[in-house]
Amino acid sequence: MAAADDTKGLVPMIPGWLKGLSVYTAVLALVAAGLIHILATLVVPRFAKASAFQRLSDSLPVNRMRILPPVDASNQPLPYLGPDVRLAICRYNVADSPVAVTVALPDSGWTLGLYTVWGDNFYVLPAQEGRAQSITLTLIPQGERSFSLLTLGGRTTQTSISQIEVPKPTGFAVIRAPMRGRAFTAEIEDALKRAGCEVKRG
Amino acid sequence: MIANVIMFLLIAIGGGLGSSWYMIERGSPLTTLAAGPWTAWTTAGRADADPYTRAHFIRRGMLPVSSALALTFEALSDSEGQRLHSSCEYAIEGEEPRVRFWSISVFNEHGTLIPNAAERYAYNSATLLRSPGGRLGVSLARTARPGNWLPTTGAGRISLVMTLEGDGTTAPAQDGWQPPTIRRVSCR
Repeated sequence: MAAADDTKGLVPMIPGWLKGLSVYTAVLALVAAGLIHILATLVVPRFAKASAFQRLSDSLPVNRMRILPPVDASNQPLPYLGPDVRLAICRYNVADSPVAVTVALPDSGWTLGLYTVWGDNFYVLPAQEGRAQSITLTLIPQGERSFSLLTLGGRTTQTSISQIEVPKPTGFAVIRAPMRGRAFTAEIEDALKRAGCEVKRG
Repeated sequence: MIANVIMFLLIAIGGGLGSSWYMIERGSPLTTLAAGPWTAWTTAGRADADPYTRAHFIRRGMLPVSSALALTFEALSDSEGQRLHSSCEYAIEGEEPRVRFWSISVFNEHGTLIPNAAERYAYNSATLLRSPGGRLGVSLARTARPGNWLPTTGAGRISLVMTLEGDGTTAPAQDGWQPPTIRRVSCR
């Protein structure tokens, strides 16, 4: 009797449009919703029409470092990019040969980030006290590191440490410098000019 | 039967796509850190970022700095929950973050800097004018205000972005610090 009363009390809580839905259909619909949710979430990055890579690719030469001009309303290469940062970007392509990225990180707050074409930041190198201010990283395709070590016979440990395997042949190497005011513009540009990106022959 | 099919499609497609959109666009406590009107994506720019975070930043066309090094808060509404709009004036007030470097910028709803005659789009820990009390205070208004003024002109819906950078090797420590409040002063 009590159970019947409880059921009576619950019925009004179910919206009218749901009353005609069978439990079986409801469960199936929820499972399908879950699958669609997962699929849509995973697919969005692949079909993003205005990813950072797409926005920047046309203006960046391959395997060359380019210093982007100061950010303002008339010159904003990426959304939500404020004027408090200066960027130098290399659109690397290691499909044919490794690419050497040389970077100067003179002050705290400076970083070098490596991104895939999907915007995944798979490697980041921050400036650190005591770290050499000028660093060279050799970007190589995935799986090439072991090949290099075999051919080199492991004799250049230092080189292998500076090698970075990139998950895809193309992507961005981004140097980010905090802009603490206009007075620092020349100093920051000088440091960014020391950065390089070039194909490593041989 | 037909009603069941329609309901199935509504729940499966509407629910699946809608919940995915919400999680990518707004996030959830699993993927974001909320403080008043401010939200930060906790794994932004990291190799181990969850699929929602990855999709969020790719869809927006951004290259986020790793949240292991910096924390970026975004506010779309004021502290009362009202959508930020250029027709209103706001006072951003609070304690200055105890980090090596921070900045606060204003954008329109598409993430574009708002053109203005003063060419002023942001303040940071080096450019902010401090009051005698040392607290953070920035005005958001169409027309000039004394002190730290960020012009919004006629941008429509606007958003605020505040980035905190740690010492370059670790994420900025919060130490009980709360992002500033966004108080609506008046609206036209």
